[in-house]
Amino acid sequence: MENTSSKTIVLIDDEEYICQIVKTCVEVFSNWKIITARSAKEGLAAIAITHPDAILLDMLMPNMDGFAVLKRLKASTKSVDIPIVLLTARADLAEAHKIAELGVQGVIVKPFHPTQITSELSQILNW
Amino acid sequence: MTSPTLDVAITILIVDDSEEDRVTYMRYLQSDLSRSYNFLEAATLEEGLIFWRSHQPDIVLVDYSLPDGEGLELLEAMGEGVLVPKLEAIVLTGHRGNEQLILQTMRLGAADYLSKSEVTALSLCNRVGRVVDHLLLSRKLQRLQNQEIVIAKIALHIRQYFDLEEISNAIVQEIRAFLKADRTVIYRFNSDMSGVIIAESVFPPWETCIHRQLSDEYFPENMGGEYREGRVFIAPDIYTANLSECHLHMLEQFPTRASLIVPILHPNNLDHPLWGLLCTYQCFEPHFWDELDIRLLQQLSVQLAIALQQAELYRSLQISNTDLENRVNERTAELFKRQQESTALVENSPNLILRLDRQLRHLYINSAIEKILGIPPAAFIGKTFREMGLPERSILVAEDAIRTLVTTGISQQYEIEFPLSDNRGTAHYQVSVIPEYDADGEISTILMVFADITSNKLSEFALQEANRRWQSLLDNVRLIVIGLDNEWKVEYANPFFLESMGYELAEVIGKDWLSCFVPQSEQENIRRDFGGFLNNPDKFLKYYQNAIVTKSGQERVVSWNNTILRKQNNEVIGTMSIGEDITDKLKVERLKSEFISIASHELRTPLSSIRGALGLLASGVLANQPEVAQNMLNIASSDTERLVRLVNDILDLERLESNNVTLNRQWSDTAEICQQVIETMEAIAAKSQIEIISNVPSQQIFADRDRLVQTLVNLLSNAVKFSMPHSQVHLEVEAITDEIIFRVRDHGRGIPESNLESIFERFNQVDASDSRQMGGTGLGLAICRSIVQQHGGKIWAESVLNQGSTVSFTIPHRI
Repeated sequence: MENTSSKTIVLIDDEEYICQIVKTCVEVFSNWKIITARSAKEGLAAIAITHPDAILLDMLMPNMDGFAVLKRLKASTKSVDIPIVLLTARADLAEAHKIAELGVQGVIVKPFHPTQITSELSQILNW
Repeated sequence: MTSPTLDVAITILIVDDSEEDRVTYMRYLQSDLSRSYNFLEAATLEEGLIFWRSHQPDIVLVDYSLPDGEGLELLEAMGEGVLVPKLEAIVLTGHRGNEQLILQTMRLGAADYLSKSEVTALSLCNRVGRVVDHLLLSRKLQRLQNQEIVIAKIALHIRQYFDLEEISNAIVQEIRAFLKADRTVIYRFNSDMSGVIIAESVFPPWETCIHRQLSDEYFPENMGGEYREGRVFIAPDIYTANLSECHLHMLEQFPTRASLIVPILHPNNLDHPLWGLLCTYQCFEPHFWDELDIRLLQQLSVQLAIALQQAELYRSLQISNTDLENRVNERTAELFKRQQESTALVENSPNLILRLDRQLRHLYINSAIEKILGIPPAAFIGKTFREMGLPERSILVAEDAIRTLVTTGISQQYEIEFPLSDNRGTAHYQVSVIPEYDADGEISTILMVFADITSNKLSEFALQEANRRWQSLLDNVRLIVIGLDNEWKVEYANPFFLESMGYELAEVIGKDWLSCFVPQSEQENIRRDFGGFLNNPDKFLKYYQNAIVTKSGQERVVSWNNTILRKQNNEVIGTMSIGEDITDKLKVERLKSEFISIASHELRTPLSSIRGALGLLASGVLANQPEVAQNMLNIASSDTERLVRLVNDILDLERLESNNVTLNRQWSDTAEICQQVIETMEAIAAKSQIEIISNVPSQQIFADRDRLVQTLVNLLSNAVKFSMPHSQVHLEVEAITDEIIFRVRDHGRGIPESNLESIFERFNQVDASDSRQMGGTGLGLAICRSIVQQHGGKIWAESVLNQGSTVSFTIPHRI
């Protein structure tokens, strides 16, 4: 297992409360660094700057949704290899074939359990 | 050796009392070496008579003067019983030139007269020779005559009788008797040239040989040898005839000593002319066969050949007659059987069959009438339909058909209903009216056959009814029905298809389904999916979904239920498809799916916050971080409220849209309603530093006051949310003829034109984040629209970007 102490995650979600809770969970239950972004635009900028180890991405967002973000990330050589985990209310995206189709590592369905989100991420990302 | 030949020794009876004379005469006669004589001598008349009677001499040489009487007495005795006696007698007398005596001698039939004084060797030999010549000639003539008689008898027999066996028996009988032979047979060859004796006459004590099979190597080898050429086999003595041992042995079997055999030749069979042999035998002693014997046998063999021919003709005639007779008998029997069968068939036929004369009287009617009318057939004979009291209509139709038949000579057919006896209902008949002609070609009688077609008719009616029902179903069903032939050409389109797709029937029938009614993008798929079903019906797709193009060019999605149409012989003749236009259903389903998706997101998002916040708190990890813990509590509390509002709005909208809400309509005053709304919103507006300006006339409105307030609060709330601080929000009411118009106007950021309609859809804000930012649920405008529509009004938005928006709705005075 890799050393997880230096892991950085960018979370993109338009819901402020979700950002706060996930941030708190990550900070409390792991030693990862988490950067939250309230829009796709903000998130893409954060990814470009920090080049995180993983991205947590909400799908249903105003202006640019998660699908558009995915497309952007996959289109760029800088971001194409960054593992992505979806954090979404769309339970249907958690099906294996959808995960493969979208080219993401996994899906955490809302409402997630706050004490388990980091362990779920560890498992998905093989950290 | 016996011989019936005529050149044998002549027996001469010399009656003379002078021995010397007798000896002289004998010596004289013996001097004639050309002849051979036997002599009988008698010295007296009495002795002469005895010899005459006992020995029947050929010639009598009698002396006129005898010791016991005159020689003439002997002549008298010889001529007894003969009307004109002709005696082979020469009278010798000593009285030369006695004319009286000569006359008397000739009268008694004597052949000649000779004076003893003139007797010399020469004269006697000449006189006796002449008599002998005469005698032999007479005998020959007699023999010929008899022979002709025999032949004539046989010929007559042949003409009288046709049976070959009978004729053969008669021939052998006649020949044997005539030739005084011991045995006469007819021998017939088989095809292998062996043979069998088929007729025989045999003189006792010789044993019969009839039916004896004979086989002579000689015959098969040369197919009958010289017999085939008509040669005659003559053997006066078989032991001197130079015969082969085999032949001799065969002849000895009979037994035979002398044989005369002539062939019987078949005149009509050139390949195998030898039919058989006609054989006559002397069994005991050799025998010279006379030329006449041979001729007789030859002639009779010819007669036999004729008889044979005749018998064959007769037999073939008999066979042909018998055959003809048999055939006539068979045919008669067959005809009789057929007639019996026909009678039985007609009599037992379920069809009513009757024959009428030209006066339309019944000549015959079968027993079916009894089952139909309960009247026995006999009651009809000699009566007309009318006399039998049949229904007038049936009589008129029948008479009409018969009239046409008589006029045109053409068989007629018609159908008729007929009431059955005992109230058994109505039977339907197909009636055939057929003319029957007499020998002069005139219509003599009329045959009528009533075939019961009741079950057919009932089936036909049932079929018609079924067709009518199907047609009615197809005409009225609110489903599309399309029939295509094997070439994809439209054969049938029901009215619903025409109505819903906007086509006329003429624009559809015969048209190519794919190119005319299916969007181009789908044509190829359909061709691929259905292309092979004609050859392999198992590949036929029963259920299919595709779009079709309406006349106006719209595309409607239809869900098809397809069936293959086949002939009775299973040959595919096309398809019949029943389709449901599922375009609206699909749209609803899509919207529903979208709604569920969004609703799910909208519900899960606050739930996530609540669960996350409370979960963190509950885990105790925030025990040492009271600020963070407090924040979590605030988050949980805030999103709980949000969730409550959302759930309330969803349920409210659901009730409204499912028409489960009954409006509590009552007369209210618009001014009062608006005042209530402003009072509700005033605090919020003030908080946002927004001024609400209202211009509301007092106007009675018949509406659900609370729902109207809900609507206006919702609209005013939105206006306040999207207005900049220190701006104004206007609430206006205008009464026009039939309705009252409410308007809520703001000076906010405005709504893009493309969103002016969709903002009234559920969760369809201009900006999805608005609901969170502005504390809305995304369902407010949808609820407003539903309330307005429940009142029979309409709602719409107008906007200029960055200048403001106006949302208006109408409430009719009365619905």
